[in-house]
Amino acid sequence: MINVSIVGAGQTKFGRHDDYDLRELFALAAHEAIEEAGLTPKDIEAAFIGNLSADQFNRQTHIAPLMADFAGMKGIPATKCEAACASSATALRAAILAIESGQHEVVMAAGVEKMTDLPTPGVIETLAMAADQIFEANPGITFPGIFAVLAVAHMAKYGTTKEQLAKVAVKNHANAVHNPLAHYQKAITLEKALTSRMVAWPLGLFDCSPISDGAAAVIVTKTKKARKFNDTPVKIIASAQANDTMNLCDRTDLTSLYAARTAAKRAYQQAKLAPVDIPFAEVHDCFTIAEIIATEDLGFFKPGKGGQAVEEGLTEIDGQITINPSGGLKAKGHPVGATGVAQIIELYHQLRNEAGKRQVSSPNYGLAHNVGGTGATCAIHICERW
Amino acid sequence: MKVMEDETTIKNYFKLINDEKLCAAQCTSCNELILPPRLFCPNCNSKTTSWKNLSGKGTLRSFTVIHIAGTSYADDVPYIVAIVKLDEGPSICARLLDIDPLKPEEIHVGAAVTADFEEIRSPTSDETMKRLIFRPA
Ligand SMILES: [Zn+2]
Repeated sequence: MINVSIVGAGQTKFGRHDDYDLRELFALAAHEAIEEAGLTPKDIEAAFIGNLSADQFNRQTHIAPLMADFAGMKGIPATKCEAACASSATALRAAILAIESGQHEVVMAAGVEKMTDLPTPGVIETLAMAADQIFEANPGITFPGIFAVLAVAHMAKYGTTKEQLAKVAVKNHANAVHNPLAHYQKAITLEKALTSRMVAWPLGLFDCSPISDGAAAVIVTKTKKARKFNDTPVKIIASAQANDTMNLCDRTDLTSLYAARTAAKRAYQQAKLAPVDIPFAEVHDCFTIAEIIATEDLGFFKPGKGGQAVEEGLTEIDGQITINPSGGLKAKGHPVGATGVAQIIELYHQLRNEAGKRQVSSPNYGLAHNVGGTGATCAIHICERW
Repeated sequence: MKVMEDETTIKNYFKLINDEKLCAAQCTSCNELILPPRLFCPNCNSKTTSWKNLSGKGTLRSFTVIHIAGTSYADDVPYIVAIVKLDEGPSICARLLDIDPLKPEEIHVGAAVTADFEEIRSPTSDETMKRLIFRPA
């Protein structure tokens, strides 16, 4: 069992930010998290910052000290964590391990990405670098293409339909209507989702998460000391990570992610919980098919039954297991490096019963599932209400 | 460090592709066929690998049709990228030609395909090079 709790959370709106620089987005989220914990930046002992590719998007490397400085934390050990789209879940894991080791007591885990500085073809090229450059990206596969390959395999093996994929988008857009920080606070129809422009067959534009800017930050500390900073902290009771081959060619199964199944098993063991104990989860729906596969890998539904579950409404806010009450990556937005911590922030608000119209009915536990790249990394956290 | 011509490096793999030969690395300790090639066998960790010529025959494990590509391939769309399971065991990712990319419903997982090679312009020089592609068998 892990003895670390969240005592502060801050997040910018996700979307296109023309007027804020990368470091400014980070500073806004960091300050909000620090203030909520009743602290000043000088109280933060270390920071772990998730970011995929400021080097490609913003022509900026070595971002951790830059981010820390502009958030008032100059001089503290600040380290960038990169695990593609799972960057900030691995940053949170590093923060948890820093506390559990006894090195630090008050640590920031954060993530930031500013993708819209680059024209769309450049963004597509940059994201494809999270696949095997030589053996996948060079033949011409794109990031949506990787998940399209998984979708085709899932459809062929289980009969999953394009309508079921579209239903994921419709559900997540409906949830995001009630999330003021979401990139899109707009419901969409099934017809609109099904007739959107093709990106990588069978995935259309509405099967894909958007290109977003944004930042997210949490302050974590020892559970024993958490009430000093916050009346209602949220406990982290599991932090697990597993990895897999980068290249899809080296995997025996294209309908499931080994890293997710393995990380889930470890997380459930740490928390001494089973899938049936989890009332809601924020899962990594970078593409609609990824949410369906996630609900199977996490044990909420049997392999091949995830499509049917979303079609029957089992994953809606008041369903059997609520999936992505925040709107998910699909509608909340996906500023890649910020996504993992943003998922944790949704858990934090839900477990404090302060999620407004998207609130899940008094949950005791929540799970966050953050996938990196082709599924070569998966980090899973389970949180418990105070 | 001098690399032997038959050492199973990525560079040597693409030299063989340029000679229109599709080869997998083969572990001389446990006979595992390794593609994409590696210096160390993922099965037994042995370094003693050699090249094994493959038939180029295989089946379609999955595929996609790319309609929006990155900067490098923006002019190629729409194109099909496939994961092919070769008859000898390992899988490889390559483009699939001679099929209408606008009729993906007519492409079936499990279909038989054959390896071939096409000439493309090298991304790093003015020279041309060969690349692995597949066609319906
Ligand atoms: Zn071997």
